[in-house]
Amino acid sequence: MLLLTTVPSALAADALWLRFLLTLVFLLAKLLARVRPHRRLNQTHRFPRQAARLAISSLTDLAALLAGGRRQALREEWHAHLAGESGHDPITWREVRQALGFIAAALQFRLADAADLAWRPADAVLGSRILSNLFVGGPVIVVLFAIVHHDGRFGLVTDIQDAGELGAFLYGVIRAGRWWRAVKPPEPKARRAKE
Amino acid sequence: MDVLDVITSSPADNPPWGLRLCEVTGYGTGTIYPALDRLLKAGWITDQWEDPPPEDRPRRRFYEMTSTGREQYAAGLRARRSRRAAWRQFAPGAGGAV
Repeated sequence: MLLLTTVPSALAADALWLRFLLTLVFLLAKLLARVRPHRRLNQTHRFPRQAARLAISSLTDLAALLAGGRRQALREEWHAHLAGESGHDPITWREVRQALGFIAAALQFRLADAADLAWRPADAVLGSRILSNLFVGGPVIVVLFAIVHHDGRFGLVTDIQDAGELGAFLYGVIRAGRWWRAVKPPEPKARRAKE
Repeated sequence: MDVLDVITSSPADNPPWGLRLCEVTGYGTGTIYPALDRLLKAGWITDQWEDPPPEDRPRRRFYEMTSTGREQYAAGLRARRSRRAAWRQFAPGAGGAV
């Protein structure tokens, strides 16, 4: 609590900062109580039970904030989790670990979101036949032009395998990518309608 | 699969929620909630909030399997059994150790 009184007034005005600081103080106090058992918090009552609940609640709110706006429902779900089966379970180290687990879960949500975002262009290529063909055929055509430019048409006879290998590799990348991402491009349209 | 095992084996009138899943599977919150999020995204499970909401505590979020989830879960179980059978044939002496 001494630390709280020394907090600058600018920070004290911000409720989120204050709650976050309270959480840190609570965790530190719990840690000290573990290191020095004769000064256990439960015995000395230096840290009120309500403050402990507020600290854990702040940690959970921070986790919900980290999880993003699309997952606001998690805040209530996690608070219900901490309340336990009875709905009014006391705060123990188990709850602290669970609250820290919420932070880890929130970070994983964010990482998964970032990975989904990063995969989006690749999924667009894998899911479209035109883009997939461009991905394979484009570099092959560029290589063929380069061969003709440097070695003339005779170069096509001697170096055609380079373009073939590149095409096979890129085709393999597309097939592997579709398998990995479970993406299936639309079936090609029939060239001639049934009469 | 552990999470799905619990959700599938739970009775319809007492569906599992986050805390119960953690207790039964033995996994922490940092493992269970991302797994639930992935299963929800895949459409294998669906969620339902406690209704009516209790006055003295926050609402709980219950999870249950969808028909797609049941099919995929059954397919996963079959694949797991066949893998285990293949492994026993491949290494009959190591079955007990594994």
